[in-house]
Amino acid sequence: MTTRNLTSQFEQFRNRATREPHYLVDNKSIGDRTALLQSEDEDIVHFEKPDLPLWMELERKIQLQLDEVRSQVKKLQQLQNKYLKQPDFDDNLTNKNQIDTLTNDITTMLQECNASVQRLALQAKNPQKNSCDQRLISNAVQAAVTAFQDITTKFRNYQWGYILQLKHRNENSRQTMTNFDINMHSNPFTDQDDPDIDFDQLTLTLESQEQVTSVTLKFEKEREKEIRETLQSMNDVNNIFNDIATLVSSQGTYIDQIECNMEEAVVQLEQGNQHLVKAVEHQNRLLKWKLIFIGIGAAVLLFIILMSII
Amino acid sequence: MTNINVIEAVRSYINRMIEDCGPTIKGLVMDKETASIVSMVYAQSEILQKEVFLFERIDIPGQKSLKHLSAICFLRPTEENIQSLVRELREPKYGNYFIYFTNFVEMSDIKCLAEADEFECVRVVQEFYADYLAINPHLYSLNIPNTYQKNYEWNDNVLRRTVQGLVSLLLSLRKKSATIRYQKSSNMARILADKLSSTLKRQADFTASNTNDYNQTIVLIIDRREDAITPLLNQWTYQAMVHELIGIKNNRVNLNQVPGITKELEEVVMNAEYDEFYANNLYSNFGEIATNIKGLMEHFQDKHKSQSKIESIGDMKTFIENYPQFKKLSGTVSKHVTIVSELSRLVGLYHLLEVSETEQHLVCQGDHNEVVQKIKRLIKDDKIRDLDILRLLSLYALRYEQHASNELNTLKHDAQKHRRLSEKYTQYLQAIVEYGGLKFRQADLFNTQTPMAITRQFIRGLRGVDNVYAQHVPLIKDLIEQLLRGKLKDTSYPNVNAKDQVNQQNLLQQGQINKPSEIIVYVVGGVTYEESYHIQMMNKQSARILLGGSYIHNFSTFIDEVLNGVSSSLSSASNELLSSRRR
Repeated sequence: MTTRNLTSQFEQFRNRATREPHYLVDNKSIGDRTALLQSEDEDIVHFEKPDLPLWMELERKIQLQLDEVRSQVKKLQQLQNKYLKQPDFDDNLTNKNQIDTLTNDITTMLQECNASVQRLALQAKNPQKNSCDQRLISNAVQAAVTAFQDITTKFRNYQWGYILQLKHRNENSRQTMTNFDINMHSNPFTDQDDPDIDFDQLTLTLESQEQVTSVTLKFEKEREKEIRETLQSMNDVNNIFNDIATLVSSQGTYIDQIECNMEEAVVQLEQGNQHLVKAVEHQNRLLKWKLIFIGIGAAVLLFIILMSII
Repeated sequence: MTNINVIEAVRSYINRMIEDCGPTIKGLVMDKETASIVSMVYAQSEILQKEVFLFERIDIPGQKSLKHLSAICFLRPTEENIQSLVRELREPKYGNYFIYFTNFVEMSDIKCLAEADEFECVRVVQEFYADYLAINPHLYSLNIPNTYQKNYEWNDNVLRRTVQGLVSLLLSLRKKSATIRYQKSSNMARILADKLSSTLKRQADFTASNTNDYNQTIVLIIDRREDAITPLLNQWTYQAMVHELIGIKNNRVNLNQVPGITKELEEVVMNAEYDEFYANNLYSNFGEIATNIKGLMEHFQDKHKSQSKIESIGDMKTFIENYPQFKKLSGTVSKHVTIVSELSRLVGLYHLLEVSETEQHLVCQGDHNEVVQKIKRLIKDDKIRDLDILRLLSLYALRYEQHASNELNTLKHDAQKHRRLSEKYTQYLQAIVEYGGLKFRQADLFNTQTPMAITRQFIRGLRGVDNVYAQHVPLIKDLIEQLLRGKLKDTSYPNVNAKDQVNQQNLLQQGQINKPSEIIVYVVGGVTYEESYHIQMMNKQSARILLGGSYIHNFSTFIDEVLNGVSSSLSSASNELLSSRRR
């Protein structure tokens, strides 16, 4: 990839060009010229500042929000992985809490983002804008929607995977528990020679079993709760997703090529111009008719007045 | 070093442009040609992701001030573009300007721009050498539909454009210099080679030249007239077939001729970079595509079934989960199914299998009487298109140009009698012999001249053929194989710098073996997708070849090209003939 930078040459030329007119104009009236330029500059500033349009701010905001969501989702994924890899009977409430809050955060952020995207889409439909602006904004909407869709899909995939794994582990642990139970039950009856030990074991197992079941119960409950929470967040996201799907489909089918779209834009522009020309003609004709009507009306009035006078 | 890839080269330029501009909202200002260059390698949805929201043509005036946007101007350094840019800079519409030219700019032009930039809104002026269309990783084109002028001469504009294109190609691949070899029999190839080498030398003054490049890279310039047969044949690989039967233009396929087409499929984009199925099947033949598309359909139906069964909440969830992918898949499926079914409709309707078999027979075997009988039969068959008859006749004309019992005239007469060929076609039939006939040609296209070639042909005949419809092997493949083995004759394909050659040979004697590692082929007068297919196959076997030409031809564009180059005597003769007939 070879390139050649000509910026410095360009700037040299430009500097020289800006300096030279000075010498030329110096002999004439400097005050006139400078004043003129300044006022022009001010004009531009005046026009631009309030003009920094709403949609651009929105776009900026969406961009920032999406960036944040992206980083958060990444964090979430790491946390989930860590959590899933940890051994079962470790109480890792802090970790879990973190996951919960993060999930909630992301969901609310996505909702906010969705709201901004919707607002942006509304801007695109604003009939007050001219065609150029509308094209710009609808392009921006398109970009935002695609990025947004990407990130939500990713998020949902993570969540879904997480839930599946949790469920899987839940079942696993239940299975191991029951296996454990059966072993304990069967153990004493096979060894019938030592009743003493038998008894001991039985009591022991009963105790431990109780303990274990209570632990598993607690655990399962927690899991259930977790799954429910995650599902809840997924539901929220689903709603957002539906909104976006409608947005995308309302954009209509489009051909994903720059050249094609440019040509289309040109055609639209020409059509628009034609319409404008037609409208102007129409208006002119209307004006003519109006004038004629007014003329006739005036004549009639005059006639009536004349008649009444006579 | 990685493989040479023109698509990557252009893409990295565009990425650089967008990155340099920083995180603002950007508009991309292009001219007609750069618009094609960009859209060949970047999809709109992808570029939108980088906050490029507006696409404008410099030659079509926009209407509104967009002070809060930065403009990336990606332009060819033509006079009109400079003029438009000067006008634009005097009344700047955008807040900032980042100007990139695809080629060398004159300092005087830079000065013009600098003087126009009174508001000092130009931030960057650079040269980014992406002055060609990248079609596939190994295939480029300069998008010049008609290279030849009267009498097969260069037109100054076209010559300049070609040199610029080739220089930018070399630079974009980080080649500062290269060995340039050209086809000696072609005047145009020689002029182009000279011009290219002198431009490279001039440019070498400001960039350090690398002798390694010189030894490793070979630019081979050949003339389409040396092998006029390849564009005449019907094709059976996917990409080539679509181009031959429907027509691909800048990756776009226009389907509005297809009966019963829906509105949204009237024009489709076929870009191998974004369409996995297409990328996998570019070079598969018609039979393979049919199987593959069946696989695609089945995959789709599976998906569809799982989509349509929505009973529980869980199903709903998975549905929404897969919805975007599903939609994308359904888009690709309907596109390819439409195209393949259209192809098979055309093949059936015009008996293309039969035509193609005759073509291949004519080119690769050559039992004169049998061929004549076949052609005569096909001429009488109403189902066959005029265009295909034209293919056969021109192939016959080239193949049996000096055969003792040449029946071209009777065949022409037959054709004229059974189907009224249009004036353009009759004119073309006269022109093709001049275009690619024996008078110009050196290469032994039909393997009939040297004993070696005849024996090779014979052995090939004994071994039998795998595919009746793909027996023909383009000349380019042969040339490149010779070049790779170091056996390409210096007498017919000389090096531009004969004096340097001596030095080179001294170097060689000191112990270096000069085996080119990279070959860049440029075909004056256009290439075909069949050649691209063969080059791709060679690249798979670890060769590094780039193929390109002034245009990617199919038969109908080739006809126009041939007619354009008709020498004035011939065209006036045929004009007289026509006018006399009119009288």
